[in-house]
Amino acid sequence: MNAADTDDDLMDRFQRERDYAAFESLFHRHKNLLLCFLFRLLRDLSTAHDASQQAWLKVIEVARKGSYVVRSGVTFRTWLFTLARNHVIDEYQRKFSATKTVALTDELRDEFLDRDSDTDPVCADPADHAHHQQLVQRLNEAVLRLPLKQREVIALWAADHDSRAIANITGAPSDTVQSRRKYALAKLREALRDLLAEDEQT
Amino acid sequence: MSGDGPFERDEDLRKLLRPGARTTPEHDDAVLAAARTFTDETPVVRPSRRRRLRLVIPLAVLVGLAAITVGLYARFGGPLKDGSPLRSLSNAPSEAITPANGTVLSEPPAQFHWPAQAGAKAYRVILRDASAEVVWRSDAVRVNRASLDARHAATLATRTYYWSVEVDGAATTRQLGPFWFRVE
Repeated sequence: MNAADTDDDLMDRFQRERDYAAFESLFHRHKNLLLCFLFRLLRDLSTAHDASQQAWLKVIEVARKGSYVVRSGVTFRTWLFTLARNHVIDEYQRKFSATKTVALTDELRDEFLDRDSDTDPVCADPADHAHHQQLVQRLNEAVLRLPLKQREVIALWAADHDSRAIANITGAPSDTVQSRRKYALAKLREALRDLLAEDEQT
Repeated sequence: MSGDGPFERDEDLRKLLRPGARTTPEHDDAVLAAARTFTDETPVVRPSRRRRLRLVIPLAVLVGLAAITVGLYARFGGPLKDGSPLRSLSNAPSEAITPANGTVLSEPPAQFHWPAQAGAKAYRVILRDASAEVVWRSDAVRVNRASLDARHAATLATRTYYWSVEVDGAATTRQLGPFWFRVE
């Protein structure tokens, strides 16, 4: 599979030619980003896995029906996240209110924050690494405490969606998306304030 | 957003938020197995859009023609056989019609009567035999009744007849009936 293949190329090959390798490539490109988004939305990793699985099965179903079409201005990734989000809204909406606050358990933290330190230049020094992990943990906990609408904007933004794509996925106007992101980031900075103050002292 | 302190820039925060979550092998296996099932299926050969149109258009034409034929038969009676039941829906209440629809008469009716139609400028009665041949056509009348003259009445044999009324409006002509009666 060519790394230069676009998502749409891969999806087209999967749908039209039933090319398994094309799907596999597509899946590996997006599965972790999608899972992370769903975890932030649902605040429960097991449910996020379930929702992610359902979203991918839906992708396969769409391909089976031959109904995936490339739309101008809507990437495969935007479509995938929209599909996943709509599924979450339909299936798990009631659960949003059931889990008001979530602290990452050690196990969950290990799983969720399992980052490749070699891809993360901040983690070069062991002391820095510990501090960095603390920041990441604090930040992720703060994300999970955000109201749903801000949380989903931040989760999508963290998954590298731009404002236009976020507006597409959430169905909110671009201005609203920007505003939600602004307020959410302010809350996240507030959550990190004491750790950042330590940084400044050292 | 920009500033001097750490994470003042939005991008710095975004880097921290970048996901480290990984899907489980069970999750991946389930999804990939479903994909494999799909790719291993024998594709259902769907006719192309052009081919579908090639099939659908003639079918639609046939259905249309059939509908028109049925409509025409319903409206004008068609080549009905003697004694066959009425094959059209009357758009007038039968009690206001003389001779009443489906009546068996011992002699031809002297007069035809039907409900007055709003906006009607003139009426014309058309009497047909069972093979849809016109056996009598009344003059245009302004009232909702017409008399069958004795000369034509005498020509009617003992059989089934169908009659209808052409209603001339200001711009259009429509039809009441057909209704039927039998002379025995």
